[in-house]
Amino acid sequence: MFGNAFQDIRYALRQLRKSPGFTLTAVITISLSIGANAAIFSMIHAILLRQLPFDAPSRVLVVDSLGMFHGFRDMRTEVNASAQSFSTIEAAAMYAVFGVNAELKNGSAERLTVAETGAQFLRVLGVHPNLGRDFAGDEDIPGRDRVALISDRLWREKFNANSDAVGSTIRLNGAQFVVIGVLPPKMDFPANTDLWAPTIFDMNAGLIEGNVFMPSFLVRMRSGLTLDAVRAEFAARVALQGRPRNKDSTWMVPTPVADELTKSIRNSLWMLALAVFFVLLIACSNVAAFMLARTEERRGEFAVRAALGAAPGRLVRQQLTESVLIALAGGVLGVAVAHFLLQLIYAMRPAILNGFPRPAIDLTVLVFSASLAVATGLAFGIAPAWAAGSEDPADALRVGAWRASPHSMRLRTMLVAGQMGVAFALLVGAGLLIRTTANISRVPLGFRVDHILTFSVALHGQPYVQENALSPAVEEFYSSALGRLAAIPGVNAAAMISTPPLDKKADMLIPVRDDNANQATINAAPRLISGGYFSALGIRFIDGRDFSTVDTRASRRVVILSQDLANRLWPGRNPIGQTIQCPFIFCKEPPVVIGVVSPNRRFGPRSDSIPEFYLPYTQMDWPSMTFILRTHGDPAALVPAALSAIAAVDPSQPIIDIETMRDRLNDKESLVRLELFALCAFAFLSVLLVAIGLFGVISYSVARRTREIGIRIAVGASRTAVLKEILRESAVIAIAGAGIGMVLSLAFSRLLSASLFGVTAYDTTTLGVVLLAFMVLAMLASYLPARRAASIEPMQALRTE
Amino acid sequence: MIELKHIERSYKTGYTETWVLRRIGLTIREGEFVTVMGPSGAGKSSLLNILALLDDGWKGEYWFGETAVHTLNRKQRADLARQSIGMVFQSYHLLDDLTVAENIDLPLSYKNLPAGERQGMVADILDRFQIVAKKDLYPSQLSGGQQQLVGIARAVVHAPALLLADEPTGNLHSTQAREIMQLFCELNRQGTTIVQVTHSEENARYGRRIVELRDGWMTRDEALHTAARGAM
Repeated sequence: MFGNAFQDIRYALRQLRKSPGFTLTAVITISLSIGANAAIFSMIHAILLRQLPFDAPSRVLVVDSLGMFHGFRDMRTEVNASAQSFSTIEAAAMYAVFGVNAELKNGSAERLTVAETGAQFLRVLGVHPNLGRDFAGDEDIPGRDRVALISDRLWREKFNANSDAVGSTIRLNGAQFVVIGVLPPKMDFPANTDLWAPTIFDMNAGLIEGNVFMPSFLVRMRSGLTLDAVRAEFAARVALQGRPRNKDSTWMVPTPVADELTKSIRNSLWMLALAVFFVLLIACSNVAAFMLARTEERRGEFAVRAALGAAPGRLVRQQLTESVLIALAGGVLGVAVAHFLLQLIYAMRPAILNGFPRPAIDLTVLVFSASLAVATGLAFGIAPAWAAGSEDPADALRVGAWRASPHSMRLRTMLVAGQMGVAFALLVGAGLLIRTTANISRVPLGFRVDHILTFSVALHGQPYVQENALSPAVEEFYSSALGRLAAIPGVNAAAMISTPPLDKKADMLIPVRDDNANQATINAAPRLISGGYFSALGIRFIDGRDFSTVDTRASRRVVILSQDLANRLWPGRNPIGQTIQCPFIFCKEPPVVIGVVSPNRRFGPRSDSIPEFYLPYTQMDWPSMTFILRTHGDPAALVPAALSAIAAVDPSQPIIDIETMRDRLNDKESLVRLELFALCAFAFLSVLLVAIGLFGVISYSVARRTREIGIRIAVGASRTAVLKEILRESAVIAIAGAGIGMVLSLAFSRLLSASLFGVTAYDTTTLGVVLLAFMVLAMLASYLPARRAASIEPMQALRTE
Repeated sequence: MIELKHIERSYKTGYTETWVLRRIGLTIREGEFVTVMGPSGAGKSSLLNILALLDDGWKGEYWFGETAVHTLNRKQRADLARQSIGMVFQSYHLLDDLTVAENIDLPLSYKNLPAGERQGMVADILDRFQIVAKKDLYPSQLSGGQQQLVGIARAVVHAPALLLADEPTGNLHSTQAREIMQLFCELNRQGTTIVQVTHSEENARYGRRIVELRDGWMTRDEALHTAARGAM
């Protein structure tokens, strides 16, 4: 058996060496498609299929609230009591993520990501430190909570993987913390966290930035229960609180943490997986069609083998050996293609992938590629192998080598029509994404995007924070920084804002009303800004004036409103001179409206504007601000000067989140851009393969029909009629393919629905354009063979017979 | 009907030029039955292909009636051939995927005739050749003689002025061959001009004139006496 197998392999290699053109084309075709599949699989494996490093991860749920919240007075007691009141959960923990200014033991200062949690956090997740210990049960009580667990990455990078990291101290925003443990390498929840500190209930810990506190909750479901049971209990709690919830609301709906983490990208990855599978189908049928033609040409050989005693199964195995060898070679190259594709995808820096592990070509992906290669080889080899094994030797030897079977021709035609259908679906998907991108680019955001540099400074420690309150040094810092930044050559405008447009952080909405009227409140977002902010970002002033040097702490409190907020507070009336009322620190003294500006789509082109009100930073301290620098050239060129300007004011305050406004916008749309890039690449590859396939099948058809075409010309057919006949044959295949494609695209485009903008998944314009392009492609691919057919000399054709 | 003057045909292969027809001069009157004979390689089939307007690579003058074929372009020649010439091949050259009726209809389908008219013409020919019962059969279901009959029917369905036959009985046995030649005689009697290429002396006797070629030269052109012609 093995002797025969080696013989088959030797013979197959000889056959493949004899046809280097076919072999190279087939291997490249297969390698590109296997490579694309392996690349997407590695992403799915790393992002969607990875086992979270928790104990029984399916029991760990994320929820936005436990249904309590009577204030910040004793949050720890409230959270613990609330968690215990649920019968379906065994533990709960609150957490929130912030950036902090850190000083490590070696004196280096840098920006780290900290997750503020309760003491139960690791117990909820089912994770244990690799080194040191977990939080003690009472270490989340304010005053006892100056301990931290560090990530394995931080331990290796900053502590040299030394065990004496446990017990060392680090300063976070000026406060000293003791490292009590190191977490396992795979523990990366929340994503990219460097430290975990049990300070979630401590309002004086100083780790919260921007005074915006929006925690989430993790709960561990009791063993033996279902997700539905947990959700039912939470729904009952919502009903008990008398808070109406519409059917699409996610308020207090526990979600498995794996689903929550991947919800933004899940559909897209599966859509891409389907797309590359389509590409593989096309490649397989392409190679199968060419192998069928080779089998036809070797009918005589198979007939002789059969006549000499070869069983049909032996002939089938011999042919399959060839196809599997091609596929394995394609698989090996495909791994290199996958590696290259992953490099290409991550070179685009898609922000959507930032929170996930970076995929690698590991053993799982290699096994996947090898399995796919074997399956591919069998898939595209089975039809030609079966044809070889089922040949009637008497018939083949009598008729001669060049009487191709109509069955084989029909099969090749069907394969090409199928390929075209699949390529059609990919083209429609790419077309929809192109239109989406175009639609998005046309949406007016209401603020400038180009030539704008942004970066943030979050002030911590002395002299900015004194006795847990902000000092006048905050205003001095920002004023001085603004002055220096405005003086940088090339800077046309310098300004700042507490929460810039296209920010990644969650927004805060607070209720606002007319100070002089007893009316319903309107939820609006507060912004602290400097004078010149609107001008710097090109936000249009509708009425009134901007903040200026007269607006100080000693003067009347002032506010500027967005037009949508002003219209809702005072419909049909002039808002200038009116006063507003709002809770918390923003309206200690009701500010008077001095200006109205146009609203803007601060969350990006897909979202509407929200009501906003702007306060001058000179009348209220805010520890974290984002600077806006406008230039006429490349904004990235301003970075060194900007860093120097801030360092000149206070070198101890790190600058974070340096990016251009264009980068911010691209990050918002990074998922669509990733989908567009991938889908266009796959569609292009598919179209190329389909064109080659159609060219091949029409050429083969012409060659097979040489005698027939010669006779037709001899009995009176004009050459134009012959040309039209061949093009008509191609058109029929293309129309059949388009019909298959229409059906496939209906299903495929639904996966894109979430990414589309301004166009539906069943857009008839896109379908029409793709259909037209398709038919043109089919005509182009078959024109040369058609011309060849029309040039047949009947004498030559009939003489060969 | 046909006049050839100084017709020559050669094929260049590399640096050599092979002549297959040398200074052929031939006049064929309407209603004639001419046989072209000669050994293999004499140029018989080449001459027939030129007469059939299937070959463009010749030099000289070719008059088809009043039409100077030598001045026509390829498309014009094809139009002339479609209207006026029918060809019968040694290997029949029927299309395997078409029925007998469809094979006969083939030349009509290239003449932009209404479908009803074409059907009528095909029915006439089927009746005339007594193959109505076989109209829905495929060539593979017919004997050699029957296939050649269909080939002839296809060649004459559009009532060409000139019928050319290249070894029409080459693949048939004697009985079938005789039937085919008698059919040719009948067609000739009805007014069709026929030029056949054959090796067979017996077939040649069905014609009225013999033209002999050797090494591309016309070496003989004489009328056959009535007594030498086969029984009709």
